[in-house]
Amino acid sequence: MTVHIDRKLCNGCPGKQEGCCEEVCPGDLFYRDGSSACLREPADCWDCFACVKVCPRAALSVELPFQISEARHRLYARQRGEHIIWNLRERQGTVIAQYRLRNRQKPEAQPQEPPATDKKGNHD
Amino acid sequence: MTFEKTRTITTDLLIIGGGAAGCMAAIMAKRREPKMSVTLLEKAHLSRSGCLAMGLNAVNAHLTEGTPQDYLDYVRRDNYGIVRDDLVLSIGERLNRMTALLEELGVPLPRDGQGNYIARSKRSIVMQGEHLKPLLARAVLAAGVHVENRTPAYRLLQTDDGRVCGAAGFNLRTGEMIVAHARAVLIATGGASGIYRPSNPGLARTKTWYCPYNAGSGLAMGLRAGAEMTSFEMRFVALRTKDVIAPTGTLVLGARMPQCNARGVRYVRQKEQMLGRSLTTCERLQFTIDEHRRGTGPCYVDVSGLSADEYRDLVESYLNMSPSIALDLMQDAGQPKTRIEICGSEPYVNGGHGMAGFWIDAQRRTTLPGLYVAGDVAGGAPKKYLTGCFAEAEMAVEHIIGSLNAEAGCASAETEAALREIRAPLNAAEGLAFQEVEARLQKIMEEYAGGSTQNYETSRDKLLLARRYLGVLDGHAAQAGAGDGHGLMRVHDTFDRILLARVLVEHLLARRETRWPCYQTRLDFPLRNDFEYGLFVNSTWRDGAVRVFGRNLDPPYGPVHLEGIL
Repeated sequence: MTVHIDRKLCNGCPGKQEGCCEEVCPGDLFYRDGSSACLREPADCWDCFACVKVCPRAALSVELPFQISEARHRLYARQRGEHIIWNLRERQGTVIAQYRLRNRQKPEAQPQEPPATDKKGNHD
Repeated sequence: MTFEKTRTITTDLLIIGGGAAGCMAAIMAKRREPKMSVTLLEKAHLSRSGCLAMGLNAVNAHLTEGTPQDYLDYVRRDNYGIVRDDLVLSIGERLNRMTALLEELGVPLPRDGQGNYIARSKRSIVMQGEHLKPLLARAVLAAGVHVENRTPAYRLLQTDDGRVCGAAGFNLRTGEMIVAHARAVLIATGGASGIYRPSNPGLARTKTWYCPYNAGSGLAMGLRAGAEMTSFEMRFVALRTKDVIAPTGTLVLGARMPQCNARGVRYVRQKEQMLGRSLTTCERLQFTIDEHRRGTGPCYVDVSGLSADEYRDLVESYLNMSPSIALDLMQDAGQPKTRIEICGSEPYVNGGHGMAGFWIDAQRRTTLPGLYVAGDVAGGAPKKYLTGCFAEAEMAVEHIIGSLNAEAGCASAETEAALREIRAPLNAAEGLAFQEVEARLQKIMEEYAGGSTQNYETSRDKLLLARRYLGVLDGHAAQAGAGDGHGLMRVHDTFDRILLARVLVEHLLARRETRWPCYQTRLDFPLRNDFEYGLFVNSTWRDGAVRVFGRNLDPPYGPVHLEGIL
């Protein structure tokens, strides 16, 4: 197992030309089958979490291949403002640990002049 | 998806590859010369592609103390005297300014009570870089750069007099062939993984340290166009946590935890006391392998000394760079691992940690007119890391802006030939699967050219077998077929890896000494030989053959004939 797709939560990003995971995956590993994302070849996945972090429905998580780790937990991530929230869960869903980490800062918090790129104060 | 239609882009500056160096080059070019059109071809999607996809938890080339000259002295010593002093020094002079750019992008760099960055060592500071790549991508788009995502390039285009004037590739989602004509071209595609057999087999085979989607296509493109390369024989092998292959710097530098053998002996500290100096990067790996050989392996980083809070900090630090290790560290709820086993990774071709890449001048010009490089494809300057890639991008862009006088445009016959070569695998769909070709390549390199299971060691007769088998493989590989855009990319990635492997084997044959333990170990020449091999090993590729020669360590780096390679 590597990226786990929760079929109850994934809706295939309707209305989008590409699913969010399909758009960002650095290995070009996702495709859409009807209303759900699918992995082309799970063994080609790097476990980089790009798809997990970008999924708007938190339908994706990572579980390590059993070969290299007997821990059968799953790691989830969501972006919240200037932070990323990580949830380590047991398979049944119980949260074992949660981490809230600052991963970007607003231009006004910076010591330098705000860069030209941040004129509108946009944050993705 | 037909790959019959061609879309032509005309631009002033073409950047191939949107990682650290490519993104920074694009941002700087537009900020300094807003009228210049800049096009960036990205193989994946700019927001999360390449080495930075997971994030980064430290700036490993930031001078918290010391001068650029001290940085050069350190890099030179760590590489046993063989580095391009001019390139390393020019990077050192710019490093700390590049760190400031990270804050400008919006990447949090935590500071202590006095407002100083939090130092991990003399040359490393803490960064909360989980979002580094999306922030870089945002700045690229805001600067007005034209980005083509899902567009790998596989051939350079040249004018009749050899000037590089563009590149050809395809959009793997739309099935369009893409031709870009440019007045200057900068390659920033990174190094190569996947040449050697990965540490884990089967379903875990892609848990490599270096990005598994980096095929070294920029290096292969350059070789095909006739560019000179340097130091491929100095492979980079990383000391990593076993199984998930996560970086160990977070443990040893970040959390300051000791490296121990299976009996609990702190073998790194012991060696340092014995030698009266700190170990080089490849010695830390070599001595770890020595412990295994002696029967006192495996080796660990012992994290039992961490308090619960410190352990939490460690996990958080990893989440910013290599999240999957968090799954491994927290195996049993409330019972975190206290000994983290370490091992060597598979070898990579890499100019950001190691020194393999294009042979360049101080302006980051290659030996081909019109072609610049920056980052992990640029040779001669190891240990540049993120900020060094930024610095190289800046130097290349400064020179490009000052000398943009060629007109965009390439000979149409040559463009057609390039497109034909790129499309070829689509007509061989009944041929070999790329997975089979890749597995054969990795088997040859692993067993004959010093893979991890061989303790990274090789010798003349094994290398000669590697040379022969790679030649045969190259013949068969031409039958590898593709049925769609993803397949076409994977087939070309495999072709490129085979070409790099062939060049790498010739470099390993040429250096008849052992210069960098593990990175380059010749069992038949086990000692360092400064008298004969205190030089760079360089190469070019022409008409299907590698030509290898030496270059002096000092300017003007005159060529040296290498005796008796075969």
